[in-house]
Amino acid sequence: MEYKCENNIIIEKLCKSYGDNHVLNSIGFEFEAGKISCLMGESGIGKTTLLKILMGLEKKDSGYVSGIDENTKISAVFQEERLCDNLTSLGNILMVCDKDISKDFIKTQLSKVLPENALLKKVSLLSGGMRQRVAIVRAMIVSSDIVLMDEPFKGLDEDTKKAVITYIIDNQRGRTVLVVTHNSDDAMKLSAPICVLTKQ
Amino acid sequence: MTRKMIKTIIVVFIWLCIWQLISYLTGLELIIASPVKVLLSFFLLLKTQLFYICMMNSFIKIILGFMIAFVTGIIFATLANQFQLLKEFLSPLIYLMKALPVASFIILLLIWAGSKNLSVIISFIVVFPMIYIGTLEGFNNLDIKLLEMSKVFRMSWIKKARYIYAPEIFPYIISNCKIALGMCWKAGISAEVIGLPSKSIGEQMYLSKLYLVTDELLAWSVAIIIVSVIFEKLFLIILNGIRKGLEN
Repeated sequence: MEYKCENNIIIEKLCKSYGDNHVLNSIGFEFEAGKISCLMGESGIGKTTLLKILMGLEKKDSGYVSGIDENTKISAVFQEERLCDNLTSLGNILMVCDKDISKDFIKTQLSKVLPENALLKKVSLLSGGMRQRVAIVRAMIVSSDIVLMDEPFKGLDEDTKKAVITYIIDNQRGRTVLVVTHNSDDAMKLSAPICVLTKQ
Repeated sequence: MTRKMIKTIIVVFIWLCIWQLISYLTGLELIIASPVKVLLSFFLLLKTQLFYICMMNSFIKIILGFMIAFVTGIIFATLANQFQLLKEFLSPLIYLMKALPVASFIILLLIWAGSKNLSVIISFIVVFPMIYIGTLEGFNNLDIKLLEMSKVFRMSWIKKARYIYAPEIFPYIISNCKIALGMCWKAGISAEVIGLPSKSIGEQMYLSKLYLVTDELLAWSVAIIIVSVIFEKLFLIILNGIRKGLEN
């Protein structure tokens, strides 16, 4: 299924503070619709906070965000995998999918980045890297307009990262994908423009 | 036979020997009936129709109270988790149910409602706070990060209940149920002994005490233990079955 994402994500004068801690101070970005973009910046600069605002998990103090509203379907890879430990890799994906996505399709997708024997294992028995890949497949399989990824390649070795990047590119299907990363090589491999979040 | 079972049998056998020894040494069969006599009395009880009528009457009432408390405890805890006002409104009542001695409730209820359904209400009063508190504890320990994930992925409430809430809350409910199942029998039978509803285990135990038929009194106790253990095991098997069903 191909998606048609027409609106760029435009962020203007966005501010967010936690008490006296001004995490985001009047930042502005534009992420092109239907393309992959990368967001980089030092640790603690507010990348995750920005993603949380885009996901609707945090409220902005002031500023404007357009291109995302309550009707926009979002899928995400969080910094932690956020999987249900009592479910298998397959179960974790079925849990968030619409009924029209079959088990066989999910298995095929998972097997592109995971060994066969990991598909039906409980995720609590998988390594950190495998769990991360399940979270990535989950975000890419689900029907969404925007995919937000917070350091999706963390803990993956080079070969696995390469396979995962290929998987993301192959399954982008016209969606706007925003990837937070610390590595500019990742952005190059994704052929994505880089936006850098700096201290204001 | 497993090692654990053999150990249990040996431990039970040792305790039976101690009991027999005390009964023999004191020589007061009237006060401390020997295990052999209790066993004989138990088999004699099994042959009477009254035994089954009393067992059925008490079982239905106590378990009815338990089941009502189980269902309403979960419902009210779910609502209290959503509405802080309800949680605060219920908190004095829950504290009262937990702290007030069962005997006080029994006497008050005898005055207000009579003895007919006393064990249903007492069983409910004992079990409700346990299930309510256990369920609320489960809610309080929910993984916020998974809840955030469910919000981002727009999971339906049915899926949230099945995959996020149930696996977190069920262990708390099950662990509190284990205690509640024993407590409802203790409290229910106590209520019957005080209230003396017709053809109940409590009434029969009271009569045994009145006529100093200790072996029969203990035989009734054995019957209660057997029935409560069987019900507890069955109920927990069903609960665990539901939990596994939800997980798969």
